[in-house]
Amino acid sequence: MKSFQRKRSRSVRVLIISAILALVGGTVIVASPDVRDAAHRAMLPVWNLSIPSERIAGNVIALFRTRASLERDIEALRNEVKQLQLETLELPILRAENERLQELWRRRVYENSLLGRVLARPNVTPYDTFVIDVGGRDGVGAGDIVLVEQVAVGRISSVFAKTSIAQLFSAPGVETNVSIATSSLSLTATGLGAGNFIAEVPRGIDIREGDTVVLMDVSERLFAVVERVEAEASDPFQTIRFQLPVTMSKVDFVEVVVDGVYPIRVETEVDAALEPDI
Amino acid sequence: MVMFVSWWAAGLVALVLLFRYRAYEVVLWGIVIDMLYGAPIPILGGIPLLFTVGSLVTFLAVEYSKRFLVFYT
Repeated sequence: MKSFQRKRSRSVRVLIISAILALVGGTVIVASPDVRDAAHRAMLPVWNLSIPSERIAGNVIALFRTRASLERDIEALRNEVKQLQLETLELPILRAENERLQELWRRRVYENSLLGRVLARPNVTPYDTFVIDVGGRDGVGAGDIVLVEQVAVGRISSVFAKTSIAQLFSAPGVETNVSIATSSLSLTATGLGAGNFIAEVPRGIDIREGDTVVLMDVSERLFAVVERVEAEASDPFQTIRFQLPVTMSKVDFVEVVVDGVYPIRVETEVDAALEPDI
Repeated sequence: MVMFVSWWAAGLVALVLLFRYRAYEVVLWGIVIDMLYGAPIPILGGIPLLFTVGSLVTFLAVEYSKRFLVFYT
């Protein structure tokens, strides 16, 4: 009985020590910019993966073709036909993407802005963030504003060499200074996640559903639209709920308004180690 | 799975694994999520460690609760 209790308390001690070590190790890893930069570099090929699986399978099959010359030729020709067919299928997609990019580029409001492709969206990332494919090498800096369809949706929170993380203004707990367009009333909106915000104003202020909200620190452009106004008789304040006019799960490209000189070359130890010798 | 599906789907699988095994990989999952997607959030004083702490707490809670579940006796 005693040996069982001793064994059990030892097991609990080991568990607690392991948990403390894991927490310390995790903090060190997550806080290290170089480690995070390396992780983002490792993930880039995965995020960029857009080759149809049939093409991959076709290339693998080609490696195992038989030695008989006729069968080898037939297999090679078959694979070539498959690839050409897949490339033909991709053409409409690439054409549509090209047109969309040109349209977005023409509609830029700021001259010093970059177009970035979204690698991971809020439905994949748990922090209400975008991972985008422009980073320090392209001139992106922490704090740069991120626009979607000319609506300011967030700021760059972390910058790596080739990627960066944009945190949405609607991230849970994040406070943003906004203003109601019709009344010029300034207030603090608290993010609820997924493009939703909540704010409290005194009851006497006339605010209605459909009123537009603008972002005070950035520009006087549309930021959100008031969805609901809740007021109880006993409460001196009324609660306003509003939402970004953009569907985050369907965003493919974002515009990053960069400050300072463009492009900015960011040299890191990781960059130097990975630079090819030319 | 972390790379391709929603974080909550991966979280559900992690929870199942925790009850089935002593899955230390779940803590690693939390660290990887924070490393790739972490952003400062007010809840933790601006530190992007929500999933590291969350996965650790969940791991310890599940290990502790296993002692009281008939299934594991």
